[in-house]
Amino acid sequence: MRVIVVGAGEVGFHTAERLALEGHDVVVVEHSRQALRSVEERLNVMALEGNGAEARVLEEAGIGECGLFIAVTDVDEVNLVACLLAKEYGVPVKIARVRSVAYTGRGAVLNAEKLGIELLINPLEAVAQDLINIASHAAAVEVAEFAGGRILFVGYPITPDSPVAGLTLAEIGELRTMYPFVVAAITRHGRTLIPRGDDRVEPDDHVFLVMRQKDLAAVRYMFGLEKRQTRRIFVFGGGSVGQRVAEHFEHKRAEVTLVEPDRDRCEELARRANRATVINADITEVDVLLSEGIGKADVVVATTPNEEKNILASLLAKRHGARRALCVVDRPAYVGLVPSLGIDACISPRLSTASAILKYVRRGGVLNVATVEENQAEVLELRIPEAFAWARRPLREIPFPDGAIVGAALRGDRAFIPTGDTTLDPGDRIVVFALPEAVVAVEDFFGTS
Amino acid sequence: MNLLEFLPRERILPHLKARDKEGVLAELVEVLVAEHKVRDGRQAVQVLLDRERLGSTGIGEGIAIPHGKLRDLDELVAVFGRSPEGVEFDSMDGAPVHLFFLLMAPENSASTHLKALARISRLLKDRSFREELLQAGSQEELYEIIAREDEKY
Repeated sequence: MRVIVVGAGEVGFHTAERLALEGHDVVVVEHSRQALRSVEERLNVMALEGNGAEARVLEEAGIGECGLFIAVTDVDEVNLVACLLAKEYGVPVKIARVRSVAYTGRGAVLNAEKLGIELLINPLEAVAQDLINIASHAAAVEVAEFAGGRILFVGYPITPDSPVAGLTLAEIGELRTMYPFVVAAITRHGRTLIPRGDDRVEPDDHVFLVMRQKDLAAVRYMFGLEKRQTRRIFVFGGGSVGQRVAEHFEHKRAEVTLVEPDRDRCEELARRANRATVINADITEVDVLLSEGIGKADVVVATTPNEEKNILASLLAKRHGARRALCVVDRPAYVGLVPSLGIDACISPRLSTASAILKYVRRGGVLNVATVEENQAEVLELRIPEAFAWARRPLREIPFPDGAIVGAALRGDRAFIPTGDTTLDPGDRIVVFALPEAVVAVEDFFGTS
Repeated sequence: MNLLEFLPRERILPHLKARDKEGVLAELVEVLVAEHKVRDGRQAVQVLLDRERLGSTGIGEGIAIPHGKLRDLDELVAVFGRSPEGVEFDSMDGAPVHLFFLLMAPENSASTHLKALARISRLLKDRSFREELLQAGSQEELYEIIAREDEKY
């Protein structure tokens, strides 16, 4: 497939490199001669000098045969205009990196859908959003949205006193009329399994559910989480991610304490804050944090650029009574380490951005992807193609790949949880959970690879 | 887990009088208040209404399983009520509800509450069981039908 990558910065370079390695015919468009030279020297792609937001340049890049268009320059507007041009040329999949929350924030006047661009990626926004999702779903270890937010994938840790501890999957299934969701997976002792009817939910499991957004309150009730809310939150680090998280919870009328070591930045944050308390302190200064009430925090979110400090501060906060701690960690070795330390969740900007683009790209028909617990498994949103061999056959009769399960579906505007009688029709969007070894089989099955 | 462990004969009501959601919940809870199982009936009804707000427990086919958790409750308790006329209950299929299984559990009941709910849902999937419950005459007859079905699984 012809792939055009506009912008040869870090993300563009990396993406082009990976796609070329996978055998795609990649053209990199870049206006800086220096950046282009490095592409020419190090990558097996065609390098084209010019402005990717100009039709003439795109035609030269072969936009007519382009199957995938990725615009990741430093300038949002260039990326958006380039994608809009690509749309005019009929490119089926367009991806733009945008840093401004004006396009990706909630209630954006122009969003991906309106622009007709399949995916808008804002790296910091993606990180902030992941943190917000997990922090606000009290007790959730993992949250991902699908079908425009109408379908959720949520992971809950099971405590010994959880109402679902000890229930079999069959019993949970009996409750599906009142509590409609699919248990997509259970992680137990570091292993991920797709449970069957006689499997039982056990304490210390992480249980991963696919449900409709509108059933979230009922499901939280069933799991005994209805009274747990995020009321007191500490945000460590007042960079753009920390600020975004703090602002979100200010709007939600939570009690927000923002801790930032830099004095000037603190003053700016204090000026912009509505109700949040801004503290000028190092995030590991336990005495200061204790006097600010860290011991009563429902959640601590560590977002400073110093990942070791994020980990340390999260551990200290938990030691002194904070209920949950989430932290931003970028180094892959740390990402694997953090859960074993007792930190509740970690988010990696590099992982989430780079892999978001690449995963989206690798599969033509995949609409959205989330990875679970250090990439052990994936949740895919796919569209059922016109030529789907098993269309209009009940799900129970379909030889669905082992290691994968259909969690939810969207037909038109209606999200639903499938049963054995459900049929999958062309045009339906479905959310599938797949263990790593089953991902390729799922793609083949739906003809999206 | 058997249904009759927490549903004794005297908590089976063949003729519910109430004609609306709140009324029917109050009528079912009243049995528990009279038995001194529940102290504050109004609070219990409120707990049930709060739960209904998250999504109706009217699961279709004329059945509802209203349920909730109460702090000052010693054990899991159920009440069965039948409304010959049917009650509007915002059911999933939009049809009026004739058969009500009310379930109330102590706040810290862990999984027993859900296990009981699953048990009730499972029994009620049987169409002939539902038909029998609708056709039966007296409290005694209803009790016998439930007991028989309860022993099957």
